[in-house]
Amino acid sequence: MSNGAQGSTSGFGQWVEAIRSDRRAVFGVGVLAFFVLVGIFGPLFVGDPHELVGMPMQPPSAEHWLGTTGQGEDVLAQLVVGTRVSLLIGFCVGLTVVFVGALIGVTAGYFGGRTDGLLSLLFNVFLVIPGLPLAIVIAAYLPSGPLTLGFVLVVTGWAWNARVLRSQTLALRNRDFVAAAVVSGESSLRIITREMLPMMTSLMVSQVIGGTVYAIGAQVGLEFLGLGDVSAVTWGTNLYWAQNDSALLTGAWWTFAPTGLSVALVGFGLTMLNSGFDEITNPRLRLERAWRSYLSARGRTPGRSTPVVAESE
Amino acid sequence: MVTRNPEPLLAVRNLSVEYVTDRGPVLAIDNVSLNVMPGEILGIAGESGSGKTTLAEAVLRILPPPAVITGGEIVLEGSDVLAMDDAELRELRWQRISMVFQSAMDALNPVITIGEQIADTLLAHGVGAEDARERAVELLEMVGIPPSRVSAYAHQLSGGMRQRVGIALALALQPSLVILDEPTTALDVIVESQILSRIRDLQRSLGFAVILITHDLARMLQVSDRVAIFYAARLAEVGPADEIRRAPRHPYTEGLLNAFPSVRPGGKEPASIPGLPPSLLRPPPGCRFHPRCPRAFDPCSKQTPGPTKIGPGHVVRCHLVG
Repeated sequence: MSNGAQGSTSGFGQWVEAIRSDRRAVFGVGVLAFFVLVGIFGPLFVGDPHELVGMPMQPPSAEHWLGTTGQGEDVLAQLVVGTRVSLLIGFCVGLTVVFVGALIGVTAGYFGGRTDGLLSLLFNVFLVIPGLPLAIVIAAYLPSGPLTLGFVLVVTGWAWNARVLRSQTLALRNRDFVAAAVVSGESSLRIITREMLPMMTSLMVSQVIGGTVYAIGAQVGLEFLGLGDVSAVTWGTNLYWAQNDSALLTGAWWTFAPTGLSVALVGFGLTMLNSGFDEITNPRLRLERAWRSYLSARGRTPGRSTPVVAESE
Repeated sequence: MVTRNPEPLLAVRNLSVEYVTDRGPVLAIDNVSLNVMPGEILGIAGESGSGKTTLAEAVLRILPPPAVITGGEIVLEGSDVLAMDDAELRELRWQRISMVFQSAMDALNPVITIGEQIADTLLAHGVGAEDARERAVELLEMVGIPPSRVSAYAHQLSGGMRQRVGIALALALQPSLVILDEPTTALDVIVESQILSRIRDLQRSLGFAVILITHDLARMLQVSDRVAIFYAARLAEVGPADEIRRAPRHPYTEGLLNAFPSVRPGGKEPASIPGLPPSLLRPPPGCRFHPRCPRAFDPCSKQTPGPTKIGPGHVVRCHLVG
């Protein structure tokens, strides 16, 4: 009874196969892999992003592929170095948000009673507090830096996951196989980790991906407002400096377009991956897609009644 | 009951239904032909996954994705079901054919009284509000639920009563064919027998035809006029119920009958059919029953046995016959 309802796709090979069979997932993985590689190895190939390499606000040229910033720094170097920091914060926050959410949500759902009351109160309070303004307030008071930013994003982002996972736990808690595990004397920890968490894997994977999209967006937003460490090089500070140097007024699109596009692409790729995963972990959706393509190959549109496809067609 | 009318109410001819999967199509109904005469009870039996429910849902065109009807004909009272569009099908469903589903007792809305629920069905099909309420009471009485319970909610009724509400719903628009898909699976034996005799009585007085799907072969033989035995998406044997009970001709039918214990002391011991039903992704060649058949011989694994008529309305697909 490990991951029954979510489909029995297990083993690395099967996952690779499943992802390859879904165009959205392939696209998402491709985009993500590209940016991760840029983040890991890119900084080795570009110079110091703070070095003043030429005249400010130079449009793209053979020497500076993406031009220079208002300070005369290389835009490409800043973009590449910024990728590393931004993605790192994004993924770390995405994982932490789900981890904290799972810890609190599953505990609340599993133990119920007063524990549930207290923890539910806690995450309901966090849900009611508007996230971004709180993030701005916290970020303004704490010493600025990537760690602070990550902390702020976790504090404002975990509650929704906790709530969703609590509901999921409540639903699973009443299933017969959990009752059987309780009766057979398994410890609570084992029931939670071995019996229940595997049933929530696909949900948590999608939460991690969603959390990462949220973290990257919110982080870029906060830094753009100047609430990050403006001396660091990240996607957010790139945009902050572009704005600071009146890039929009002077029409220096090369100082913000590459970073903006990167943010959008990563977000899009992650979302595609998410909807791809949805289908991979849900066999019924997969079958329905096979059915749709079978029908459209025969010139039929799926309707509300069982379609009739005569063999002679 | 011998029908005088030679024209079948429902004619299924060479019907094939496939489930599209990512490992290739699964033939859930393979070239099945079957008639239902007006006013008869046709029993359909077979193991789980042999195509009984698929056939019933194909007749109503309500098979969920990924099912596709790949060939054949379904003709109800002269109209071609497979050529109907959604609007025509909507009329066909419930007004001409209705169905009691496997879990009909769970199909009742928990927040609407049973009387309202039946009236709703009538309203949706153009009966006036006043008439609908009256008719709902009438229908419930027909299945033995007293008028005092008309304003009861589903949870206030027993399983058997809920099942009877499901049957009343199915009869609401006086269809000419009622499909009962394992109407008694979740019920105890006494309630089961009450419900089946109720169906039999109603069918006699109202004159509709019934397709009764079950894997309780003994009960089915008792109630039905004719019986069709499915095995692995194909028909093994179709014939009059008493003939099949007395002298089954297909070894599979025989096996099913032998699997029932005798109620008399000193009766024969029940015997099970060895093996498991075959996978429809890769069905065995020839007669699909041959790997489990105690009397399989040479041609069984090579040739698919054709239909052999061995009596009025009695057709067998087996190399031992004919």
